[in-house]
Amino acid sequence: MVAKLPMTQWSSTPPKIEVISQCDKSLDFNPLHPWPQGLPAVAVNRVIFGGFSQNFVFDHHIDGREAEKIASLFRSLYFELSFVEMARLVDKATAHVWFPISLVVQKFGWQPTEIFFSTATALLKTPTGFQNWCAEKKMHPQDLSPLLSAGDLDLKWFYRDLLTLKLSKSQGTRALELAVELSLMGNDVKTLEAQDNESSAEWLERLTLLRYPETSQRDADQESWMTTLPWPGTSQARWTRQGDRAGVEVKLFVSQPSDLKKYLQGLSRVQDLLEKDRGQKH
Amino acid sequence: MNLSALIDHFEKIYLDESSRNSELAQRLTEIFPSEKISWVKGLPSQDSGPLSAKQFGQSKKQLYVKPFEGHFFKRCPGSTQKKVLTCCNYYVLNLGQQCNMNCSYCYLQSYLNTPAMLMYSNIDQALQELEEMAAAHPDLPYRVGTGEVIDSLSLDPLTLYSRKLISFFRRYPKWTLEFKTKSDCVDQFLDCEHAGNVVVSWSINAPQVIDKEEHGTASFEQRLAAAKKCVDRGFPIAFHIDPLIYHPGWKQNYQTMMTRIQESFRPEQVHVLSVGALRFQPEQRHMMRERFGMDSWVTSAEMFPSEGGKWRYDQGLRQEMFDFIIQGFKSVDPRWRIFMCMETPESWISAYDKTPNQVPELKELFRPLPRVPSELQV
Ligand code: SF4
Repeated sequence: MVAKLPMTQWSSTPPKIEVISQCDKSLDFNPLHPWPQGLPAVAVNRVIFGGFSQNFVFDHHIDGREAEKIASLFRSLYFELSFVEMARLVDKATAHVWFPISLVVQKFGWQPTEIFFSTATALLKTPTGFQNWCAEKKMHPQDLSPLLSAGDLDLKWFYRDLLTLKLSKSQGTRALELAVELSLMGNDVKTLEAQDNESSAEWLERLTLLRYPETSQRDADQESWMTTLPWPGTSQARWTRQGDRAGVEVKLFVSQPSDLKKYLQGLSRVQDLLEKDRGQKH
Repeated sequence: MNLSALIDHFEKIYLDESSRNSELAQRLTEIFPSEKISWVKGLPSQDSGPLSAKQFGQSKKQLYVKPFEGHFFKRCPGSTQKKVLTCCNYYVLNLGQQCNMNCSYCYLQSYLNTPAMLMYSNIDQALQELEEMAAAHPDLPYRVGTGEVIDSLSLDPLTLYSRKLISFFRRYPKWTLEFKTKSDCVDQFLDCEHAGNVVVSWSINAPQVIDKEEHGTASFEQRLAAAKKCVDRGFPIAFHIDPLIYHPGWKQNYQTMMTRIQESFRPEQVHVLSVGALRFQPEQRHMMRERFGMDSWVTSAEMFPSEGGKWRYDQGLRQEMFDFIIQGFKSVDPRWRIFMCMETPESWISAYDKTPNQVPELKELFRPLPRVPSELQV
């Protein structure tokens, strides 16, 4: 989406109309939104900033040292840019030392830190399908931090499964971190990739079990021990984890005061057993 | 690291013009070869925002000396989160920030955004702030520590700040000064006269954890040897067994640590033992993973979000580790003074059946004290 039409405010002389073949297209970063039909492209000193497939160009003459002006003009051409688009722009801009990439990054609301640029570089090494998924899900650099540790890992299986299973943004963010960590921990791809007929939720749960094996085992042991306790009547007890704490969630159905009394008596028997068990452990 | 190792460690020393007349700047120009020294007005590259893993590593090798602007005194972070964490009354005097050592779990990784290690040149101003506190409350048992965002002693052979602080605290015997370190740099102050109120403390861990996770620090035995030197000169010492790190064989390895402490010191020689378990801000995990890979017991740990936002081990596991350590001392001799730092009230109650101010021998440490003037202005 184009935010504003290019105006003469950017250069002291009015922009010249040129044919596109006279201009440099090397900043083409594949913007996701189409340029408005019929509107000429915009260039600065014959380097195209937007409208890369148009026939004619408004070419502005701006001194290359006027970074603020150049960055503002670029900002005015795009309503928003995804991180993927920005990453591609960062890459293309390396060939143009005068292009004020840090200022442009800032004008789109990001901090032009070394982390930002390294994440952009790491993202560009991933397959296009994953990059498009990131653009669609509006992934931020922080969501992609695990890529900074991925180094030379071969994560093709992960990118494939993420797209096949159509992961949501939060699932994909979680899965990326699990995939990178489990791979770095030396797990075999065969144990990590999605199995036939596995849903996205099942796949994520399996990866989580692999990443948290000891806690999962402890939770499972606690859960099976908990089911041996004499929970009263029709109450339902379930072992659950909430962050760093795990415990029993008990659901009671009470239709009259005497139900509650029965539950309380039953629960007090469970309490005795729990306290006895705690005493033995200490 | 001794003085010559420190001289080798730093690639560049930036001395801010505003520190030109300070004793520290003078000393550094005498110690370091001139090609490592640059006089500057502000840091040459001062990007804002969080540091990358590479920048963080690099920041450990560049020292920037300037005066601290603002108030030196802050309360220990745990004591400002009273609702969630249980912590001791403790004031922090930051004499710089960043560290020349390199622990995998170091919380500075989620905290710093300056591409060089800072060392403040105006310690005299800090001492003046202390004077003001002293004038207002000379008899209250304030505890002041210097090791929050910088190790108290690892750079002390360069600054010699310990000597000034020890001599200052001699005038206020009811106050306590605590140096907290993972180094063995103590020789530079051992000859100082003191009032018995300067606690030299070591963050200590099982030798295997030190070797694997605390890169560039003094070894377990070097720390014990340095502590012995302090005891011999009459300094009270303390050990912070923090962070406890779960790993294969943890019980055996922590038992070795406890046995060595118990055979090296008597309970009355150790002012306090504190114990804390691994914890970190969630965003820190990315830098840790990038810097230390997944082979580390820290990055590969099974951590969960806890109340207060930090990631911690499962509470049951934490409890098991605390119980093991606390029992490991108390069962041998109940006189060991041991408490948990930066822990939730649940952990306290589980370990002691009490919150800290209900434990008689620890009550004094946790008694709320009046705030210092700089805190009241916030
Ligand atoms: S000694 Fe302390 S400050 Fe230094 S790296 Fe280790 S944890 Fe960080």
